Amino acid sequence: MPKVRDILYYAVHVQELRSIIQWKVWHNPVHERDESTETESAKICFKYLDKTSRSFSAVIKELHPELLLPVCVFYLVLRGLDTIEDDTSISATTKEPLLRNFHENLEVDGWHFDGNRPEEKDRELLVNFRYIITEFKNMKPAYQAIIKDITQKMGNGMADYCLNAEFNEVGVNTVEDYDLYCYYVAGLVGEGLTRMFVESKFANPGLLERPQLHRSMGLFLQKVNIIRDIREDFDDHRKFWPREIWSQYVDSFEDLFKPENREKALNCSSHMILNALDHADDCLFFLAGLREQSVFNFCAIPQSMAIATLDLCFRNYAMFQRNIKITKGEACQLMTASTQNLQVVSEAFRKHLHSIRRKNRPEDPNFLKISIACGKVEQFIESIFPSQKVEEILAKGKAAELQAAISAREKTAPEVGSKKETLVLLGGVLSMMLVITGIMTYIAWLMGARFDVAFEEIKQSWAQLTGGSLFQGLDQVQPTNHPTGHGEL
Amino acid sequence: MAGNRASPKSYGTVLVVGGCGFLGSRVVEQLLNFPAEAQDESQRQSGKASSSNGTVNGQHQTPHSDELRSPSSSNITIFQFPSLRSRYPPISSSGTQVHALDLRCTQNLFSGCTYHEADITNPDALLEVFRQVKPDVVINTASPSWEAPAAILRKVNIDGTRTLLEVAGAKLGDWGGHCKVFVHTSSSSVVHDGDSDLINADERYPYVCPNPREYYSETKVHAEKLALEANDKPEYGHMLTCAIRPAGIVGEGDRGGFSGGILRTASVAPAWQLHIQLGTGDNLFDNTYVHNVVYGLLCATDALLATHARRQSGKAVELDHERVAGEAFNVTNDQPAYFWDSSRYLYSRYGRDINIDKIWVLPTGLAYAVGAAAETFNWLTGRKGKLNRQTVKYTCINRYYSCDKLRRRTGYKPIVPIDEGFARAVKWYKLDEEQTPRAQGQKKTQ
Repeated sequence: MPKVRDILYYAVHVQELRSIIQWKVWHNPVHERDESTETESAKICFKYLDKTSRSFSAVIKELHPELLLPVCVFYLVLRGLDTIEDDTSISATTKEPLLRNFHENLEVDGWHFDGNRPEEKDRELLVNFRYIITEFKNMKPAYQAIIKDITQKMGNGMADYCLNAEFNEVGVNTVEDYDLYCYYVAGLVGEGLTRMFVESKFANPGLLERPQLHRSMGLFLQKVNIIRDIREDFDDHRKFWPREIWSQYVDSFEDLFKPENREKALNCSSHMILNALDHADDCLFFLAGLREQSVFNFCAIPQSMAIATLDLCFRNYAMFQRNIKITKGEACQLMTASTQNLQVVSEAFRKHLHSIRRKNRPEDPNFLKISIACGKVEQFIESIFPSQKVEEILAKGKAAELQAAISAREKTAPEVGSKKETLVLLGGVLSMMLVITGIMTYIAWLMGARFDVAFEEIKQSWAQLTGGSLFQGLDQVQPTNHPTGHGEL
Repeated sequence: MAGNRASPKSYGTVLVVGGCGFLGSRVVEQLLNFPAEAQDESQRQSGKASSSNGTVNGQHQTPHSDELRSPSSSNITIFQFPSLRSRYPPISSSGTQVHALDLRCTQNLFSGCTYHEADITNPDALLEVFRQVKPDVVINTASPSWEAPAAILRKVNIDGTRTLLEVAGAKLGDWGGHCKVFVHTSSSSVVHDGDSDLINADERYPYVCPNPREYYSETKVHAEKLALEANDKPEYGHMLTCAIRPAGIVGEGDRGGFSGGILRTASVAPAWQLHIQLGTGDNLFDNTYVHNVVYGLLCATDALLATHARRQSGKAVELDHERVAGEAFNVTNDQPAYFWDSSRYLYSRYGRDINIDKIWVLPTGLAYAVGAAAETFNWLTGRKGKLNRQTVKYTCINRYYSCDKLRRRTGYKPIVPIDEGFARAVKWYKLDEEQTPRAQGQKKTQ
C-alpha cells in the first residue's frame, strides 16, 4: 500500500506520477525469461537474485537469453564473495584464504559455506551455494572462464584490503587508493561483463581495447554510491571518502558532520562529485559500443540513475544528515529514457549536467573545475550526436552562394526590363497629359479665352506680392515659354 | 607531465613579430624558458647552496594541476602556482636566438631577447631588420585589438601580413636569405559570423568573408589566406607557412581580451550589474591560456621545421593527413566552460561577491533590447560602452572549437588547465592594478 506521504507527493508532482504510470503500462521487456524451460537450479538462482539485489534483479531478468543465466550467476557469485568479506564475525586469518580461493569453489560440486553469523543478510545464499555451482557448470566454458578469473581477481583485492590495517583504521587515504578500491569492487565487474558482452557478440570488441571505458563504468557507479552513502557509511564506521580530499576541508573526518562545518562539508562533497564526474563521458562512450537492446538497457539504466543521483547530491546538505535517494517518479522517467537509445540517454545526462551547473556556486573552490567537467561531457555528447554538422554548413554555404548567383542573374536581366517599362509608362502618361492640356487650352482659346489679359493680371498680382524683384528673372523666361507654345498654336 | 622531459628544442634564429604585445611577449618568454620564474626560483633558493642555472627544480613538489586547489579571492595575489618552466618543454638557449620586432619596444621586455623597432607595413624598415637578424623562423603575432578602427585593422592585418610575408620570403628584396618557416597567428573568429552558434567547430568550417558584424575577423581571413597562399611558393623561396587560430586568449598580460574585459567590469561595475545573466547560461565558450597558445605556435613551428628538414634531405613528401605546411589549425584549451561561469569565476576571484540566488536571468530576446538600449544610451551620452547588441550576442551563444587537428598533426596538448589560466589572469591583473593605479589605455591584444 502506498504511504500517505507518497500520495501527497505525487499529487503535487503529477509529472513524476505520469512517468511511473507510463513505465508500468508501456514498458515491454526486450526479452522475458521463459520459466517453463528453466531447470530447478536456475529457478533457485533467480529466487536468490530477487532476494539479494534490489535494483539489478529486474534488469538482469530482461537480458537476452544468451546472457540471462551467465550474468545472473556472475552476480550471485560476487554476492557470495561479498557476503564473506562483509562479515565482521569472521577473523581476518580465516577470511583471507576464503577470499583468495573462492574462485576454486566454483568447480567443487556441492560446495557451500555456513560460517556466516546468523544476522548476515545473504547468509542463505552461501548455505545453498551448490545450486549456483550447478548452473555455473551448465554454461559455456568461455563464460565460466571469465567469471572465474574476475572472482579470483576480486577475491585477492578484497583480501589485500582486509589485511590492510591502515585501510581498516583510517579508511581510504589517497585519491589513487580510492580509485584502486573502486576498481576492485566495481571496475572488475565492468571488465567481466564487458568480456561477456563481447563473447556473446553483443558488444563491439573495441571495448576491450580501451579498458579505461569499462573501468569508468564501474568506477562511476561505485563513486556515486560512496558519495550518496556518506552518512550511512559514517554511522557504520566506514570511511570511503579519501583523506587526500576531505583533509583539504576539515581536520578530521567526523568534522564533516558538524553543523558548524556545513559549508566545508558541501565544498568537500562537490570535490567528490567533481572526481566522479570525470568518468561520465567514458560511460557514454562505452554505451556507444553496445549492440543489443537488452544489454544496452542493462548498462544504461544504472548509469542514468548515477548521474541523477550525483545531481541530487550536488550542494545538498541533506546527504550529510540522512540517506537520500531519487524519487520513484524520477527513477521511472530515467528507466524510460535508458531503454531507448544512446541519444535519449545523452539528453538525460545533459539535463542533469545543466542542473548541476545551475546549482554551482562561485564561492565553491571547485566552481570552475565543475563547470569545465560538465562542459567536457557536453562537448563529448556533441561529438557523438552533433547538433551542428560541418557538412550541412558547407552545403548551406554552397546553396546560399548558388542562390545568390541565380538571383543575381535573374535580377540584372528583368530589372533592366522593368526599369524600361516604368519609363515607357511614365513617358506615356506625361505625353498624354501634355496632349490633353494642349487640347483644352486650344478649345479655351477658340472659345475666346483672353490668355494675354489673364497673364498680365497674374503678373501684376505676383509683382504686388513679391515687390517685383523676383519676377524680373522669370519675366525673361516666361515669354519664351508660353508664347512659343501659343505661337505654334 | 614532468618526469619524461624531452631534450631541449632548438629553433635557430626566431623573430617574433609583435613581440612586445600580449601574445608576442609570451612567445618570447616561453622561448627564453620563463626567465622571471628562474629568477624567483634562484631568489627562493638563495639561502641554500645555489645551483647555477636552476633548471628542473624539485619536480616532486609540483602537484598535478588537477589536484591543485583553486586560489580564493583573498589569497590570489600571493598564491603560488606550479611553475610553467617545469611543465612546458624546455628550449635550448644555445640553439635558439630570440629577436622581437614591434612598433614600439617599451613594455614586456625580457633580457636575453634582442628588440627591433619597425612598422611592419614599411618594407624598407622591415628589410633593414631582416638584414640584421637573418631569421630562420618568423612567428607573427602582430594584430590590433578587435575594437581598433577599420583603417588600422586593414593596414596592420592585411597590408602588414602581406609585407611581412614578402620580406620573409625575400620577394620584396634581398636581405641575404629567406626564412624557412613562417607561423602566422590567425583567429578562430575567421569562421564565425558573430551571430550563429559554433559547436565543436573544426577547420573545415567555411570562412566568413565579408563579415558585416566583425570587420576584425574579416581582416583576419584575408591575412590568413595571404599566409597560407604563400606556402612553399618559389617566389617566397619555398618558405613553409601555416596559420594558428587561437580561441579566446586569457592569461597574464591580457587587458583587452576576455579575462581583461571581464576583470575591468569586475573592477568598476556595481553589484547589481554583476548579477545579471543574459540567456539561459547553458552556452559553452572556449578560452585558451596564453602559454598554451604559445605552445601551439611552437608545436606548429617544430612541425614546419621538421618538414623543411625532410624536404632538404630529399625525403618523400608527407601525406595529406599529416601535413602542417599550408594548413590552418584551431588552438584551444579543449576545455570549454559555460560562459557565465567563467565570468563569475573572474568576478569572484577578483574579490566581488556573487550570490547565485540573486542572479537575474534575462531571456535572450530581452537581452537584445538591453544591448540596443545600451547602444542608444552610449550614443546619447557620447560614451564608448562595452555593452552593445554584438557583445550581448556573445554572452548567449555557444562558441567552442575542436583542436583535434593540431593535436593529431603536431602533438600539441593544452598543458596548463584553463581554470589555472583564469586564476593566473586574475593574479596578474590585480598586481598590475596595484602597480599602475587607474588609467590604462587600450593596448595591443593577440
